[in-house]
Amino acid sequence: MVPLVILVALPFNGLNGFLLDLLYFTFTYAAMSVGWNIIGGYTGYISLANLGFFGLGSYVAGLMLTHLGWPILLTSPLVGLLCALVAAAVGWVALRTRGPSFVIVTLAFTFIVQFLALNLKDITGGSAGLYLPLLSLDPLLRGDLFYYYMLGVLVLSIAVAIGIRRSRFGLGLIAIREDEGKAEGSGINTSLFKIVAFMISAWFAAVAGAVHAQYLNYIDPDLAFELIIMLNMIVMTLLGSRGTVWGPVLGAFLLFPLQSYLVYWLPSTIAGEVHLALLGVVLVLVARFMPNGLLVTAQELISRRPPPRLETVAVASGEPAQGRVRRNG
Amino acid sequence: MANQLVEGVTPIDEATSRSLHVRGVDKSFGGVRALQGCTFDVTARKITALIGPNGSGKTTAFNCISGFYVPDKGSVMLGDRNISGWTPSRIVHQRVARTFQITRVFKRMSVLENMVVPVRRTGLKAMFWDGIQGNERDRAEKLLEFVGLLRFIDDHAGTLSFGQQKLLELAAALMAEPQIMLLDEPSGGLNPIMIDRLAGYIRELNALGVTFLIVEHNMGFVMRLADDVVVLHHGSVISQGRPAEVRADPAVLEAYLGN
Amino acid sequence: MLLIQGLVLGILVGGMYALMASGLTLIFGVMRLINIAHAAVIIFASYLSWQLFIGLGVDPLLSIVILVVVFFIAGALLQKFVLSALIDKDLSLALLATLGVANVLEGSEGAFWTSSFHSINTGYAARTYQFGEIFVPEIRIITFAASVILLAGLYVLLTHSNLGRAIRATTQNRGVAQLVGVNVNRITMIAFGIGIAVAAAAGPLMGMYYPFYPNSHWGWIGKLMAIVVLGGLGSFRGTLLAALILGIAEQVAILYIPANWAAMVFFVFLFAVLIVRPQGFFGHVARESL
Repeated sequence: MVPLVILVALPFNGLNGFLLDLLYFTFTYAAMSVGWNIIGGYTGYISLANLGFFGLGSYVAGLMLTHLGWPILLTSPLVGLLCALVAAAVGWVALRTRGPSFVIVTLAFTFIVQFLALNLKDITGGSAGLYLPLLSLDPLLRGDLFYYYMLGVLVLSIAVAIGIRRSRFGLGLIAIREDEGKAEGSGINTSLFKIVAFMISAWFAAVAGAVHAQYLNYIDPDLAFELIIMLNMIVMTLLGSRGTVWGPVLGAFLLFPLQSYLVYWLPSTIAGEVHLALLGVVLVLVARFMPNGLLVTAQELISRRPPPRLETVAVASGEPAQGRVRRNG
Repeated sequence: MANQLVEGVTPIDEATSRSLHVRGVDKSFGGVRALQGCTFDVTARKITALIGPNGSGKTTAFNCISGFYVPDKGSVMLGDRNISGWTPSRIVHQRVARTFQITRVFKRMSVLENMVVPVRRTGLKAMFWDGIQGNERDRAEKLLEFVGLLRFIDDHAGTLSFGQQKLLELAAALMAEPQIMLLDEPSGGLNPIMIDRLAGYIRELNALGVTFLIVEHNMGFVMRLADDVVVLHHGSVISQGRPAEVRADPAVLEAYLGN
Repeated sequence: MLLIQGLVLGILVGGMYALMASGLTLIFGVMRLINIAHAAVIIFASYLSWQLFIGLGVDPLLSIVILVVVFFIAGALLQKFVLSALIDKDLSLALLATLGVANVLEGSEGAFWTSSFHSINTGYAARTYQFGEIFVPEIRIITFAASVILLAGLYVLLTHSNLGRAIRATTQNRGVAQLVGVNVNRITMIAFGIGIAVAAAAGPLMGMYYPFYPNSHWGWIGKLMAIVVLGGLGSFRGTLLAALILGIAEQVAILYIPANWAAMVFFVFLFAVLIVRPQGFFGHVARESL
């Protein structure tokens, strides 16, 4: 609660434009990472499609604005919903079976969406991109607006994550990750659960994409599908701790400002490439040496017991389920 | 006939009980024919044992019944409904629960969480809104007490001993209030005392109306317990009947000794 | 007649596709891992071959020999120090590690060679042969021939050597292989190295015909995955067959629609297979295996 109050109050203390921007990006990444975590962390299915939904959300929102005049900041939930429906279709193809077909399909999906954005020139403007009408807004307020909007989306994502974790749905997702066959044999409709988890993660990615399109007032196939976005979502979640509510948030708040700072020191001609390579190295290192992530590793160190139980359903008496080993009688 | 109420398990009334009918099931993998024209019945409210030499297809039959395999030919009937090809979770919703040959529990979850995973209800509300409802925790506690695991309720399931995990698997399966229980080699790896306890649990549950189909290697365990025995050999049923009849059947003796 | 053209070209290009995808199948077979970095390795090898060609005048076909050795070692080391620990723990972590490697390769390429298009233009192999009404670029024949030789070598290795036997045993049933005395960890490391080496071998071949740039591996990995899924994950002959079929489908499609759209053929097949027959031609059934 306290951090939220601080974040809400911050802009009123004359936060400068640069920091407002930085936090806007951080909120965006955090919300997308929390979303990715639902399918990648809780359910254990690595999705490479969220980048595709980010870009798809950008384009759908942008086209709605240019063709129908509907303001993006109002339509973003709807755009998210449309992309979630696409996710349902994609999920239906890939999630009825187990195994690696999901990664493959999600990778193909992102590639296909980018390909369409590039080649359906009549609709999307191709590589020239799509220019969006500017918001008729005082530039000083503009920064505040995007700041609060994505803060709101982030808060929503965290609320959804908490809700999932406490529900039977969340327990089911974790069961699927732990032992999918056993979960299915326990009566969990694994295909349905996986598809729903995928749809939720797609919603957040699409909303972020839509809002970002308005933020830039411009969409193009390179920016909308920049790999660094996907990589960041995954590294932030993994570093923070997969399968926890706050892990992805922690990862985003740590990594994004750090990256923004470090990128300054890179030679500008190859900054983007080196950035990508370094982030790749970070991913390999985190996967190899700290796969549980910061949050979980910290918990382990503090309490010095065997790996902590999963963050799962709150028991009926309302106590949080984590970290308690009670012995009855 | 006084049925002892096992707390946490509601008795199954006659009207709800249904029989299982396996009819002419074929199942092959690559070139290997695991089941050929397999046909047998599991009578409602009775304990049926499925035995046979190694490789006779018992677990394959199990998997076909519980939805993990789809029969190449033939059908599996639950009462008068054809359930072959249904997904395992859909079959569980018909109140048919199973355990696995190699015990499977969610090791990184607590015992309580393991108990709560099995789903009785379908429906959006049940999926999204409910946490662990009050009476579910009660039922879990009672079932855990039934199998003697209550004191471990908050421990990681992975810290339980092998035998305890088997009992947890059984108790968790009961949470879905099955009217048919499929047990795959339930006595495997248990010491004689535990096996007796297990037999006791099965009898108690059967007295409440739960139908059992048990795959087993342990002849003593199975012959004492079963009302009906089905013998599988090379994927087909070679004998079915009461334990005493089957034991004396020369075809059965040959199948076992011939191996 | 046009169709025959498509057929011929399809087979020629399918051979190269088969080489590119065979390493992916091999790796999946021994590790059950989808190597997301596979196409990135191919592209990286192309860059190295280009550099050797421009800098030292090494013919790309000759560079294959060097690259195979270098990448085999690199692959084996990656497997030994990074992937093997992850495979046991959690397959998804290994998957993420390969994603990381793919990005490291892409970023490095951009940093060293800039993001402009490259291609390896040898002076020879610029001709186009004509057989009746069929036109066949010489480069296609050369890359096909090289691919076939390499694939044949791989095939012989897998079927007639002790190593190959051990690899196949590990692929079919790791536990049993271990029981009969196979050092599965070492075999996995070697097999992964071979998979990477084969990918590297395909690099110069690809680079002689297709322009490449750091990001192009994303387009290729999609195609390779479609091939591997269509053939059935882990099946070598499935990969060969699927590569030929998709190669032909693509080349026939190119006769009627623009080349970049023709690549979409791969994805049409991918989605169709997953809907109709998820195990592909020769893969195992995807539902629960206990």
